[in-house]
Amino acid sequence: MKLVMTLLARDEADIVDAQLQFHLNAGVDFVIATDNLSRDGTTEILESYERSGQLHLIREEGEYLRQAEWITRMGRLAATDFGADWVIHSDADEFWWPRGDSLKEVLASIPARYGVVRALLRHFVPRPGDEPSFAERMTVRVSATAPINDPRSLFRPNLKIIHRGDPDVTVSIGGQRLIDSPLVPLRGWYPVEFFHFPVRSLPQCEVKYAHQQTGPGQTPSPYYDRVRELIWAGRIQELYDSLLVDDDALERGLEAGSLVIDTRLRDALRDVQAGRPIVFPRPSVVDEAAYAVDVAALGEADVVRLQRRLDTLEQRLLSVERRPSVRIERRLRDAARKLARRNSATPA
Amino acid sequence: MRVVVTVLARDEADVVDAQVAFHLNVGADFVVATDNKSQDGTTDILESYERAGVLRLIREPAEGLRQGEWVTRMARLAATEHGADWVINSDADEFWWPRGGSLKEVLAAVPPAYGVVQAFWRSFVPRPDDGAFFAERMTARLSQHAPINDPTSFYRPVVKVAHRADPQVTVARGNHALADSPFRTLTTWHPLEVLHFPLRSRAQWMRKVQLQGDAFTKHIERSGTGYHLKGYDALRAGRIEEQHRALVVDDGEAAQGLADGTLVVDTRLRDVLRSLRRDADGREFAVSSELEQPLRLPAPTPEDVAAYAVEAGALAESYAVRAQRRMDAIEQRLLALGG
Repeated sequence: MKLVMTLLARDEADIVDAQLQFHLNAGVDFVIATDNLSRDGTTEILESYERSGQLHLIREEGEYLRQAEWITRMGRLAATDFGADWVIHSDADEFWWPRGDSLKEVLASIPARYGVVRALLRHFVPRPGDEPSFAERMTVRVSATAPINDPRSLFRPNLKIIHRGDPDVTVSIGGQRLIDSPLVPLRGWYPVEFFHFPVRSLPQCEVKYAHQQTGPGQTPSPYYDRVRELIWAGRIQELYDSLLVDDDALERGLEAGSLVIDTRLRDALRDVQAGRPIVFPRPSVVDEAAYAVDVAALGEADVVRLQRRLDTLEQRLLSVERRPSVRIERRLRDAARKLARRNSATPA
Repeated sequence: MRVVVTVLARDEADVVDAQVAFHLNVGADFVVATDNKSQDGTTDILESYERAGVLRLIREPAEGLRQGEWVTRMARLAATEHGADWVINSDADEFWWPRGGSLKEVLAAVPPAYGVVQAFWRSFVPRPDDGAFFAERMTARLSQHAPINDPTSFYRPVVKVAHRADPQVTVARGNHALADSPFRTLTTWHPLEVLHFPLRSRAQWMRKVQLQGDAFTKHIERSGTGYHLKGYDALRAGRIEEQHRALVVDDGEAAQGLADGTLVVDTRLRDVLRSLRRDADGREFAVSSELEQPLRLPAPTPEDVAAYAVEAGALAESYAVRAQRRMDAIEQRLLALGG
């Protein structure tokens, strides 16, 4: 099995090296990266992996972020040029964590009828301090079951997809689903988690959202609408402070169960640094039962959603039934039935 | 009212004596058993109940684990020859626990319009094997507050069905449903729990994996479900020891599970079986006629009822996810038609 990761980056030098090292040690065979106008050293880091033959680099000069288009291009390339059996679409601040021996082992166990696996988002919060390594500093994440009702929150439960290699794939903005794809998603279970470190420091936060601003009409969520407002108002510090979790907030969050300590990535990166293999613990049934509660926050068992999908399916069935060919066939069948009835009614 | 339990067994000597005795003590009047080529003493145990006049034994020499077919045969016999009003289709590692009183009382309460009751499968987790009787060791039960929907896990929440006797009944593979049945199914009340002990020891697990793996590769047309395949792959790759070790819940994991509520201590079966112990040839447990006082199971407390409702909610959610997956398949079929 060949596992290819695509990576889209712009000015992520503080994290991209760790990101690549982690995945190349976690079962990813090859990386296709798109570098979009980085000026902070990201390009050089990507080039070093390109030189070692582990990465194919696309230099994208477009000023506006056309995420879905670029990810789709990489997704297709993974299938056509790099023989991918499975493709992960990652951002530079995401770390894909298998709930099993390795990413490969987990994907190999997916029944053949499913072509898309969804990964559960794990949101890590910025923490204060001078420690330069984000992974050493950011070991606190938002509990998946914390009640978050604000649609503009960065921390709402979410998912992204991993899919089987497909030369015709079209990935949605944000990488949450495929568009018009014959690949069937495995619903209700998330054998991979992805750890997300979107905001790591004030300077990084400023650069990140300045770039986000350059893509008009492309904001993927209400969260970004709010970010845009704050940036226009020159209130980026305020935004950062609202996300930062200091020690007091941490204590309260742990107490309330809205935050949890999670050192898995930190420990894995320490292993990589020391030249040790990363050990992904195979979850026990006890772990899986607890994880099931986190997964439930995505609401896939919601009966209202179920009914909405049924409505859509019914409409589609209706449109198939209204096709001229189907209508002609039905009329012919009705006529044949009438004829048969008339014949049987006629005494021999 | 007459309740007949059917049981299909192959090499289940460590559990089948307790299984038959238990059901005969909680309201079953008779057992129809199919023994499929057992070589570990299962046959002798079933024969001892046959001699006592409480069990009919069918010896099935065929290979291929044709579960649906064999269970259907027993369920029909229960109706045609053993005067059943209700039939419970059980595996040898399942104990059908009525929530209060007896199987008879609970099934008598089912409104006449309904003919199928969905029993709630309750899985007990494997614990380290020190050679003790499984029910003494396995007292930790999984308590799912949300469903484990992993298609390769055998802990997915499911139901098993009991049904009104019907000479034409067809029981689907796995005893999760009837096929083409005129009976209405009661879906929101689960008055029976199935206490399930699928993995009891290393030797028993290897036997089961081998048997089911053989059946799915040689005899059954569709492919195995996730956990069968996983186990069989591990067996063929020489990793079955490792797989078994990973499935067993050790003391540390048990403590963690009990602390966070994903496991609960459930000694109900252990306690009942202790009370039925006797020393006699062939059988280790008393049948009801040998007891001074018939066994009566306690009615659930309000706390039990609440905890049960939470888990039944997870069960319902798991079926909602299954419905989503079925819709995905329908969507693909529509797409293939260009719709």
